[in-house]
Amino acid sequence: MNLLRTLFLLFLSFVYGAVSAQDYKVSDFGINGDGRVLNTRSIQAAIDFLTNKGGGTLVFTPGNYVTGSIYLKSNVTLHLEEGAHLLGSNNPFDYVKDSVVNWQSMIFAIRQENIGIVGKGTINGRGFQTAVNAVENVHKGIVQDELKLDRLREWNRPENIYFRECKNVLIKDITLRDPASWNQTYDQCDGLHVEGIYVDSKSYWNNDGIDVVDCKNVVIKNSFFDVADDAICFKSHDPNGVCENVLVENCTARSSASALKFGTVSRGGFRNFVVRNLVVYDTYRSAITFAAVDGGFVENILVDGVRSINTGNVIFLRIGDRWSKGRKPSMKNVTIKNVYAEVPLNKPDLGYNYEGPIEDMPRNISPASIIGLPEYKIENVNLENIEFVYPGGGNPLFAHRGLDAQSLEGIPEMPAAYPEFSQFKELPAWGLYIRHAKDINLKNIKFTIQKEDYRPAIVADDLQGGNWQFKAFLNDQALEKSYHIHNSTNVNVK
Amino acid sequence: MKIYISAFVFILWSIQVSAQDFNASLFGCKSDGVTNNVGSIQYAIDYIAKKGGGTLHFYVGRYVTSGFSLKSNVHIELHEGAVLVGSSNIYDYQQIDGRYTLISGVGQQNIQIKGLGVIDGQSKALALHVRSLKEKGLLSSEFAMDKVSQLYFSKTSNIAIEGIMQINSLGALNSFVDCQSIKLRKLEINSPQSNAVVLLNSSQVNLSDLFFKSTKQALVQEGTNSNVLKTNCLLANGKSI
Repeated sequence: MNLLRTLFLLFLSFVYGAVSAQDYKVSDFGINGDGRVLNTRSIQAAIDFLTNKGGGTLVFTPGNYVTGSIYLKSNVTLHLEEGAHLLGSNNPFDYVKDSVVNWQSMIFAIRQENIGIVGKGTINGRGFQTAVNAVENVHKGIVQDELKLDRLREWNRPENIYFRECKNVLIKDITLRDPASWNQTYDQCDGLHVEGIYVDSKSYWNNDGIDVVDCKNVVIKNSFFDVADDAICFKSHDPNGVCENVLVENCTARSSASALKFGTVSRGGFRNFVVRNLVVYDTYRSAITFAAVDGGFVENILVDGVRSINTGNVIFLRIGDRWSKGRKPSMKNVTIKNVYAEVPLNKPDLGYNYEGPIEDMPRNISPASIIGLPEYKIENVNLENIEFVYPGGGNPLFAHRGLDAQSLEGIPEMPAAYPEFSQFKELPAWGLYIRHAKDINLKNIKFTIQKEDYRPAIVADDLQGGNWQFKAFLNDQALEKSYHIHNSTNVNVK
Repeated sequence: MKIYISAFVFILWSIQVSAQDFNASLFGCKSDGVTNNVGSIQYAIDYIAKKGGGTLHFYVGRYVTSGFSLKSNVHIELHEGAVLVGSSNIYDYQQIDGRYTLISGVGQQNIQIKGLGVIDGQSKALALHVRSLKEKGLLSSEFAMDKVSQLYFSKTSNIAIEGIMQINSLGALNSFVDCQSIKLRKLEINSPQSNAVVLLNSSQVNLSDLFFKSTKQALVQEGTNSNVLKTNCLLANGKSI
């Protein structure tokens, strides 16, 4: 009986949906694309009209549509035609700080379903000027903000998109530019499909490419990110939340922070990820950063196919103990394979707007690293078919970390620090550094340096178990036994 | 004794606080006749209300806006040459009690709009937009032009509108519903497509020195109004209302 009822409802919604899914042009509602009129309320009226009718598509024909905060609602799709630009107002007072998410955005959707933003058009937050205007408002005393680091806090600056607790979200083909904060956040959504988007956003601090927070059933594919902060970023804000069942495929990322990142906020966890064919270039920090620093877990992660060119660090896996509040962070069952990576001598993001900050100096070129804590070890990591090309040239007069027990054990644990590949300053290896881990396996790994380095290719400290099959070269010349193992057991080197 | 002194000091302080003046430009308002200032104006009103009240000053220029809401003890002064220009898009008006409002006050006290400036409702352009929406069926059939109010007050007391020129509204220029103590003084009204003053269940209404250059009806009274006093309120033909 219940089944019949469900079927009937499904049928009804199908018929109703088919009938009511209608296209409306923005001009029908008097939404004005002259680049000057503020369309916030008329866009909202159009969305409300469509959702009340049972759904439909609001088509933005070519033009420049200025707006403040709007709310996308169930069964409504915004279609931005090529040449249509949705432009963020430069007046900070045209934006709402939503009471559910406590954050500002141009386009919100809160607890809606079957929504989308599609088409070859552009969403441009024009965030630099908006952020500058917001800072002025604080200086004038009419807005309160602590102005930490001389900028408003992230949540007091508008993103382009912030969706929370939505189902069946489609983001396709659009271009996203220059918000005053992160670009797009999808928080606790189920069924997120992002395809073919182009994100170019180096306008202001914290310009992340995409932030996926505690979402399930996520696809991000065929997309391009060139951004000031983390490019493809998964977070877990809720200790009971999790990012799971995620496919990231055929994406290209350029960042003045990290390209693919789990964290920094990592309270709940991340599991069942497949990342295929990721291209990273001119990226300041890591091509891949997985951080479990707030009590969350990372497990069952496969990264297959990475090309990382002119990127400061290749892999950084880290367990920390920052905001764990008694919960135990963990990281296990991570496979990273089929990777080619070139690490440069110079700053990879030199000349881009909002370059990454030079910090944790002095240090020579940092190795890939897998660093847990004495009480929380990173377990079962498989690195396979990887070629790392490093500049080498590590100079002990500039920065030095010896291989004796005292030097190795003197590397600080830094459990509560912000996780970053550079945080430990000088590390004792040029290729790969492992500490507080279990079962780290290397299969068919090639490390090359282009200039002599005072450090060996690999150093492991407190590693319990591992089968290593790797080769290290100084250009074409094989480097024999270029590794050092300290305080470890069951590590077999071939 | 001490308590009287501190009470006295407190009263002085609060008088001083309530008399604070703020320029529209502080909140980023632009007088270019193009920029829609509603975000800035509403933020300014909320900000001044939180500070205990004061006056928001608009100096010469055209300030486009969508509908916004006044709060207790916040006064607006439109200086000579300042024009508050209502948007020509009906969706920009705030829907309150079934009306589409440009400036509204609901459940507030001590509201003033004064000065020598103008409030322009852009009735022609607004009517065009409404008509096109109705033709396309995008506006509910209940919508009628007379549902627009340039000023709309409900359950509000101690209201003064003084000195300004009010032009080109649809519907009603000034609507008062369940309001007490209303003073309209020295207004020049030129709004052929609207009624000028519409009273519903309001009391202590003092209309003086009003000149109705053009309007549909100068005064419409609905429900039960009491103590409606009219002094020197003239139509264009010289008749008193």
